[in-house]
Amino acid sequence: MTGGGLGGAVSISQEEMAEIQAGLEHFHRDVMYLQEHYEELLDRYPEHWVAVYDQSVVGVDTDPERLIEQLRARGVPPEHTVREYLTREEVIWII
Amino acid sequence: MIRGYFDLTRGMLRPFVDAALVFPALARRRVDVRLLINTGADRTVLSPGDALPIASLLGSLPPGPALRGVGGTTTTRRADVVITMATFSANLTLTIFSPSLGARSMPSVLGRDVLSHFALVVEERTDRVLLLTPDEADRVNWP
Repeated sequence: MTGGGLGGAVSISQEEMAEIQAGLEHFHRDVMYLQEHYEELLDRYPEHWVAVYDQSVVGVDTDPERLIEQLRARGVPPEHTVREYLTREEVIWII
Repeated sequence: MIRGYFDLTRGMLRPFVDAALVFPALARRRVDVRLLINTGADRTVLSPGDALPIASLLGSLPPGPALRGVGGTTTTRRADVVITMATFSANLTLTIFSPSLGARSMPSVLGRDVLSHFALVVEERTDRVLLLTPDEADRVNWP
């Protein structure tokens, strides 16, 4: 498939799908954790990137690449973490 | 039905949905992301920040379309992925921003390439962010 849009039969095993579903539920719990603790984390780590995994902060850095390295060094899979740049700067998105 | 949510973390209520992206060409690596629901975006796009965990693998992917936004035009990579949101899965050609771009805090977006397959309900009053399949949408008593 080279254009945009959805298409074709999905090749994904039941086992992998179960793993994805569990991963998504885990990820969403971390999203909710970040939302619920956002102000507290912002007070603590202004102008920093934070990573949340297993409903706790597992990495903090001013540079997102260093944060990824930090996570890997700790054995945390960065691709499954919720990462956010914490700032009080008011930004309007017109994406 | 796929249920999204309003994200409060950046000072504004914005509609998001969680998704898992599996990259068959990258040893089936999976990246979990929050996608901003964006009816103005032509394509679903992985942001520079969300692409960082797979940055070292992106060089093997073919070039994607040029992306034009308020900041100008930029080059991208393209990857065939399996996107999963809740219990829905489909193949998708994903556009990926270069992680070297500065705007790493920008969000990944769910564009019309995916949204066009759903009826979208976004209502802050009732805290509803829903993507309905055609069958589900046909059962709704729309005005």
